[in-house]
Amino acid sequence: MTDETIQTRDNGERGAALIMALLTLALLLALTMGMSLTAISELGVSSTYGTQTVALEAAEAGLNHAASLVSNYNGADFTALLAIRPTPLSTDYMTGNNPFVTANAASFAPGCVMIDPEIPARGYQLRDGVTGAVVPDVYYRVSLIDDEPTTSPAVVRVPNFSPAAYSETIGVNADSAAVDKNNRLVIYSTGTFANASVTLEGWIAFLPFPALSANKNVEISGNAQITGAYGGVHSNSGIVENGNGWWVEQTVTATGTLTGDFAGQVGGFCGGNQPPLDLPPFVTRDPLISGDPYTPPRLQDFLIRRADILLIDPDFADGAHSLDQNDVGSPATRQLKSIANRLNINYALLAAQLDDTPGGNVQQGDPVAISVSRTVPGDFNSAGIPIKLADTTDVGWSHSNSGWSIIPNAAGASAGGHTVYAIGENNYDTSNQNLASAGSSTSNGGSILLNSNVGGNGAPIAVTMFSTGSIEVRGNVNITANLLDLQTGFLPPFVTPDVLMMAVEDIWVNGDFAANIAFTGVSYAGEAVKLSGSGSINGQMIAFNWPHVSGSPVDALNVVTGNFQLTLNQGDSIGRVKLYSWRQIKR
Amino acid sequence: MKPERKYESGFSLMELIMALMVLTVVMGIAFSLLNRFQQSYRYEEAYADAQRNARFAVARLNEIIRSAGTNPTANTTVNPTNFVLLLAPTTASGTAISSSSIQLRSDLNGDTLNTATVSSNSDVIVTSENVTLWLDAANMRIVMDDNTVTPPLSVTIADNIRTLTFTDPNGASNTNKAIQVQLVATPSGIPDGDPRYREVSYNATIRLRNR
Repeated sequence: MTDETIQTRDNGERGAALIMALLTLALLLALTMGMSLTAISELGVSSTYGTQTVALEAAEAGLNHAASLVSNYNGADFTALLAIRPTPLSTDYMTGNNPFVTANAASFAPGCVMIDPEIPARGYQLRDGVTGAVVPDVYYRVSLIDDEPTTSPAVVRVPNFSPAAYSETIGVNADSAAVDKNNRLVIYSTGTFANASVTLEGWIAFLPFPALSANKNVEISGNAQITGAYGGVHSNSGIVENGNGWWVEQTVTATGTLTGDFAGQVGGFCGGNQPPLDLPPFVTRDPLISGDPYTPPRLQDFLIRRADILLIDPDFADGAHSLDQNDVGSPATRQLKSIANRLNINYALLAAQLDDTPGGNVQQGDPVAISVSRTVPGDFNSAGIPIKLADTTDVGWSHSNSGWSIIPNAAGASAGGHTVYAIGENNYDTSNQNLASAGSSTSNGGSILLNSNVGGNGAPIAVTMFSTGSIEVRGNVNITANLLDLQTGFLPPFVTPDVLMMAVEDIWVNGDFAANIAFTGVSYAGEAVKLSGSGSINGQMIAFNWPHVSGSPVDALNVVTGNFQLTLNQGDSIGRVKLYSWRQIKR
Repeated sequence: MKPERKYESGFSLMELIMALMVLTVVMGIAFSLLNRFQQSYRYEEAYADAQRNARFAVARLNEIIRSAGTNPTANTTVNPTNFVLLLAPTTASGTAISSSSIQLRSDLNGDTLNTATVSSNSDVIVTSENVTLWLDAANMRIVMDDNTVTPPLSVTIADNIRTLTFTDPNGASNTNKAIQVQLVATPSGIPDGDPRYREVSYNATIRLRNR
């Protein structure tokens, strides 16, 4: 039996099947491995590019996060921001110099998310923008340094950066990694994902808008000169030139087209089809009451509340209720209520100051000057106390049919040292708030016209003027801003411009106007700006260009002509914090 | 025991011949299959290589183009429409809308010019301030010329690229705020008459970060 069994097992024909099976298996194995190799190698390639892309996007997120925190910094200036970095400074530009940590959160606007180094080597973990959930394995870390050239002896410097005679390397505090001298900083952001890492370098600065910036068309002609470090022109529409005597030192840019021959008359870049500037609407909607700019012409509340003198047109409050601001059936009451609320002055108190004959409705026959003090000095949200002055000449102003005017060479009181708000009739067509209909309205009251020798040569009068109408300057006028170092919600807190003139309608400067002594800052027209004659302004002109109403002195077009000289050299003006230069770093 | 041994026969000749015939047929089929699989594998590998090559080329172009226009001193004489210039062929108005070569300018060292090359061990992706990316069609490769030296110094960016087109996605308005890159990569070692010859086409829009 045993042998028979052995014979049966030895039957060789079954061996062929085994061999065949083994061979087939080997073959299949070889094929499978071959195919897998292709797939695996392709997967590896995809994965490398994928991680690199995610790391780049993380780095970019870090750059934008840091830039946003810089523009929300509430300290005095960029030097103060540099001072809250850890000490001693890291000498590696890419790492360690991060001021954006929770310990410094009080230095930034409330609600800002900081860039904490949650893992020291990798930084802050990326969050989902919608859910706030952490994104697995994606981090960015940032480092902020001053823009010290590579050749500077400063402890930390920008690599490959060797400009000639750079502002950071000359004068007081030259070559200091801790002191910013030109409103420019450099952010390095390193994004990591898995084992991939990308570093980006971003240059961030507060860049003022060009000296003349407008929403609508601008014409440059005559022998006008626009000069200085920010002596440029921008229009969010088009720019037309005329003649070859004018000169712009920096850029001439338009969102629309340039018309004319600009060759040889512009020092910097000149071109159309450029990105628009987001000019802040200083003439704007009421933040408390819905409406549009035509509901009542007004200036931004926190600006006009800085006025210490109100110049009120005759008859402005005539017929208004003397006590009840809610007597809204009367247009005069509505108008007075609107002004009282914006200035944060009790309606009845203001009405009483304007009323010539107490009892019944307000009767105001004369132009009135009212001095305003605040219950908490310096706090413009505290109530304003209005006191009527015996005569407008007590603050150096007079009124005529042409509007308000500074009394030249006043023997007694001077207009100097005050911020005035000239208030007059609202003539905008409020029954039809369609912007296009504005052209049919007559101009507002509250206009200012300076046409005499105001302010002697070398002795400017410090006065800031707000107007519900237009401001026109003729003659030999020498004034400088009274409202200095203004903080507004439209600008980073450390940008504090001086303000010279703000009008709901036009600003026309025509003559020997010379606000060039110690003044740097802003003039702002709700409608158009015209600069003509042989005047000069050391500052910035912004035209918001609401539709032109008939009767205000400048047509819709913004013009700079004659021998006018507009100069903007310093950074305390309207502009924006911008990430303006970007590149990838190899390390 | 001996009588029992007569049953211990090996394979008969016929059995062997049959087994070998079957084995030959099976192996023949198997090896022909293997050969075809191997050929397929080679083709697929070449195709995957082409894909990898195209992706690398696009990634590298992306890296180079998006940093164009670096301007650390915020110099106002910089013409932002010149960060990227599409070179010939041009339209009647002299403006190129799409081209196989592109010139990139930037200011790496802050001297307000576009004429320098920073040292090669510097920390930047591209060390020249003025480069031209172009397709060397004869050699099927993308080349980057450093225009700051004479004659321009050429570096190969990618091989086996048959076509390369740079286009301004804004068309004739030519704002140069973004550049669309289209390229076709060829598989190496496969004759283009082969029925299984395939090319890889890539298309990417690169936004200029400095515009």
